[in-house]
This record gives sequence, structure tokens and C-alpha cells, in this order.
Amino acid sequence: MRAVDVVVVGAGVIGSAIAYNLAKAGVEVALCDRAQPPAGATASGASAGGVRQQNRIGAEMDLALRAVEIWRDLESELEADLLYRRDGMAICIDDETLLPALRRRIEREREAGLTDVSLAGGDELRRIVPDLSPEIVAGSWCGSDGHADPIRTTVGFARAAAARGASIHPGTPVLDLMRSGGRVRAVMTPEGPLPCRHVVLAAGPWTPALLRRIGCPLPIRPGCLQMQATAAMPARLSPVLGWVGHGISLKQVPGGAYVVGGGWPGRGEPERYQADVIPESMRKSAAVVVGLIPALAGVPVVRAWVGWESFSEDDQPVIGALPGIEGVTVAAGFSGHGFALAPAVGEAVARTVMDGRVPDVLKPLGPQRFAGGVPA
Amino acid sequence: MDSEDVVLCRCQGVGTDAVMAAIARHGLLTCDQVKKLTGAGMGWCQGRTCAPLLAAALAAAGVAGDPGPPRVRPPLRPVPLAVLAAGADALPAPLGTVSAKVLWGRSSGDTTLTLEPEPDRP
Ligand SMILES: Cc1cc2nc3c(=O)[nH]c(=O)nc-3n(C[C@H](O)[C@H](O)[C@H](O)COP(=O)(O)OP(=O)(O)OC[C@H]3O[C@@H](n4cnc5c(N)ncnc54)[C@H](O)[C@@H]3O)c2cc1C
Ligand code: FES
Repeated sequence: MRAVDVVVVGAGVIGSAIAYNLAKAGVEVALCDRAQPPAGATASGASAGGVRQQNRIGAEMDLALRAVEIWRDLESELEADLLYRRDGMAICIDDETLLPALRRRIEREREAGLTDVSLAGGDELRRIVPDLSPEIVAGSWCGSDGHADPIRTTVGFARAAAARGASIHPGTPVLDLMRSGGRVRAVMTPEGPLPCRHVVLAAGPWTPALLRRIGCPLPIRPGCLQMQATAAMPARLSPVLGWVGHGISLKQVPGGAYVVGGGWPGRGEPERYQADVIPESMRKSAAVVVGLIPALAGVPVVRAWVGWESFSEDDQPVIGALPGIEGVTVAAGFSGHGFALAPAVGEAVARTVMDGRVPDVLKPLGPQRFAGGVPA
Repeated sequence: MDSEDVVLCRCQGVGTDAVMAAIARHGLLTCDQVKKLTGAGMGWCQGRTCAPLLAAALAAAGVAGDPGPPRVRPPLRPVPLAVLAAGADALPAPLGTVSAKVLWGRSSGDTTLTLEPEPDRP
């Protein structure tokens, strides 16, 4: 296969966004995925598509702020309808004793640069969401949060990368990294070696298998998350809703379906890229929806699905060059909240790969933070 | 949908034109891909009505080979949220529930804001 500057392994939303930014800068890049993305049982195919800045800790806040700046014009940049809506998000509480903690969280986020977040009372929230349960007493409100379609976004980045000269290789698993003289020289595929000067590992929960081949283990583990959606209903809910302590993210997508997530588990075998719905998760999650918006009680659920996400030890993404080997950068471990960040991750990782410097937004997220996780 | 367009998926209101355009634009090869990108086949009837039409649209676009059935997702029949929810509170938490603390970031150190049990991940 013809040599390239960079091989990106994994065409989920993260790898596709990285490949797009590299191609846009004129770098010769190949984007390889073992399947036809967005592949079944992957996070980018299953994602809830929330584009949220609030409730991020310091390390992720700068990336989230930058991402939402990019999201603003992303559809015209990629020339694709990503169904992006910026209609706000409320994270609700039903217990007044939580108010001080909620206030502190909002204060900290405002200090970290998210000036859009504020405290809203129950009635204020019910003016935005008329059907919200009377039990909700308050919430944090961020008007520039929103949601987008994860599948369209993943495909949109990959297509735009191809349009700018990236070569796209679906159905091409990367089996190994070939090294000599302390740096990577090629990736091995079923069609033979693909020579390159740099490799970006964005293979989600399958990243550790590749890391083990080069003796650089990182504490990243697979976790299976479940979603469900209702039939299409008349438009009535524009913001995204969360509910502290109750395991829910709820939105109504432009097609009319209510899409429900919240961290309920599915099950399966990640090694075989296989996952199944857990009926109890559907039932528990349905109960939370009806608790938050009682008026949805009669709305039928028409499907449920699951995807494997990569969770890191501290639930923050692991992004940066691996120490001990030249030319390998990792971007994985997004721990259930990587979709929103993808545009900014793509931009920042492309920059690191091109000029070798770590942008400020990535400094807290490097693999070096796991003592013992990476051999010196 | 313009007036010349023929409805392909009634439940979702997706027209043949949109499906053909998506097949051409994205080089789609299977029913499952068409379903993911257009929403056709994701409605009340779970594609029972429109699955054959999706396969036909792929054939009409010149896609050779087996387009495969769109993947069928549970529940096979639509179930109202309240029916699913009935008795759910009494069920034990399914193993592997990811806590809000993990999913939504560590809430800037405020554990009081995240009342879910600690994650017990697979
Ligand atoms: C149910 C669910 C809901 C979510 N909701 C939200 C949300 O509301 N907001 C938010 O911001 N985030 C959310 N997330 C998280 C977000 O979707 C993920 O963080 C993001 O999609 C991760 O993308 P990725 O590209 O890193 O991984 P993936 O999508 O897993 O992509 C990795 C790719 O690598 C490929 N691959 C694996 N091994 C190889 C190999 N050896 N060679 C070649 N290719 C390989 C796979 O086929 C796959 O396509 C959610 C996740 C899930 C599962
Ligand atoms: S007609 Fe397409 S899902 Fe029912």
C-alpha cells in the first residue's frame, strides 16, 4: 500500500474528526476502520448525541468550550446537515438540599469560562419545558448546550476528510504497529503493511489491544451503554434534560422521536464487537422518563440499542503522544462524553501530530498522568 | 417531500427521493446503513412495511449483492413508556450501571450532586 504521513486507526467520530483536520491542513492521511463506519455496537453509532459544556471538570472544560465554538459553523464547514440544535440543556434537581452544591458547581463552571450557565428555578424551567414534573425545584441551565446526530456527524467528518484528500479504508482492521529504531514505520493490515510516519490510535475500547502490541498498556476499559427511542411525536421539547441522581439524558430529535440515555447498561462481548439490550435497563430508564415528564407516559418506545464506549481510570479522555516510542498518538477513553468534544479533539490532535507541540487544551489529558500505566 | 415524491417509509415520513439521494451521496450498500442515515425503517412498525422498499431502492440505485435486512431492535412491538416503567422501581439495578458521576464528568468534585451508586462496570 502507498505510504502516507499519518494513519488514523478507527473511523468513529474521534478518528474521523482527526483525519478531517489533518487532511484540511494538507497532511497525507489514511483513515482505517475494521468495519463500515459507523460500525454496529460502537459508541459513535450508538451515541445520544448530547453537545454539552456544563458539568465538565476543569480538564475537559476548555475542550468543550472550543468544541461548541466549532459546532456553531460545523454544518456549513462540512457541507452536511448534522441535525445540530443549540436549544440549551437543563440539569434538574428535585431536592432543595442539593441547591448549595448545584450553586457551587455553576459558580465553578462560570469561573472556568462557561458564562452561559446559570441557576434556574422550577417555574422558570417549566416555562421552557411546560410538561416538566412539578417535583423539579431547580436546575442548571446552559442555553448554548444542545445536541446533534452522531451518525451524520461521524460520516460527515469522514466524507469531508475524503473530499480534502484523505484516503478512507473501511473494512481494514489494523492488526499491528511496525517499529524500528524507536519509532513507528507502518501499520499492518490484511492487505499488507501501510507505511507511515505517524499513527493516531482512535479505536475506542479496542485501543488497548493495539497498545498491548507495542508494550504500552493504558488503563482503558470497555463499558456497554444502552439507549432507547420513542415513535416520532409532534415537536414539544427543544432542550436536552438531565436529572441529578436519576440516570437520564432526554431529548427530542428533529425527526420527532424522544431519545433516552442516562448510563443504563447493555451487555455483550466487546472482543466480538457484539452487544445486546438488557430489558431491565429499558424498564428502569422508562420509569425515569415518566418521572421527569409524566405527560410522556403513553408514548411508545419503538427501539433500544447499545454501544461499547471506552472508559479511562479517571473518566477523562486520554489524548497525546505515547512516551517511549516516536510517532504514536492516542485519543481514546472518552468515558461516555466524547461526542460533543470531537470537533475540538480533531483540531487539537491534528495540531500535535503536525508540529509536535501539545496545545494547552490537551495538557491535562496526556497518557503520562497514569503512573505505572505507561513504561518509561 | 415534494408532490412528485413517493413515500417510502410511512411511519417516519421519509420519501423515496431522500433515500435515493442518501444512497448516492454516501455510497450506501446495505439496508442498515440506509436506515441509520435516513431514519427510514425506524418507526412504529419497525420497518415491517418499508424494509422491502429499502431493499428495492438499493437495487434501483444499482447496488449489487445482498443488502441484508435492517437490524431489528427490541422491543419488536411498540410499548408505551408507562407500561415499560410499571414495577421497574422494584427491579434490582442492572449490573454495570454507569453512574451520573462518570457519565457526566466528576461534577467538579461535588459528590453530593451525583447520587448514583458507585459504578460497577463490566
Ligand atoms: C450509548 C452512548 C451514549 C452516549 N451519549 C453521549 C452524549 O450524549 N454526548 C457525548 O458527548 N458523548 C456521548 N457518548 C460518548 C461518545 O459517543 C463517545 O465518546 C464517542 O463516540 C467515542 O468515539 P470514538 O471515535 O473514540 O470511538 P468509537 O466510536 O468506538 O470508534 C472506534 C472505531 O475504531 C474501530 N476499530 C477498532 N479496532 C480497530 C482496528 N484494530 N483497526 C481499525 N479500526 C478499528 C471501530 O470499528 C470503531 O469504528 C455516548 C456513548 C454511548 C455508547
Ligand atoms: S414504514 Fe418505515 S418504519 Fe414503518
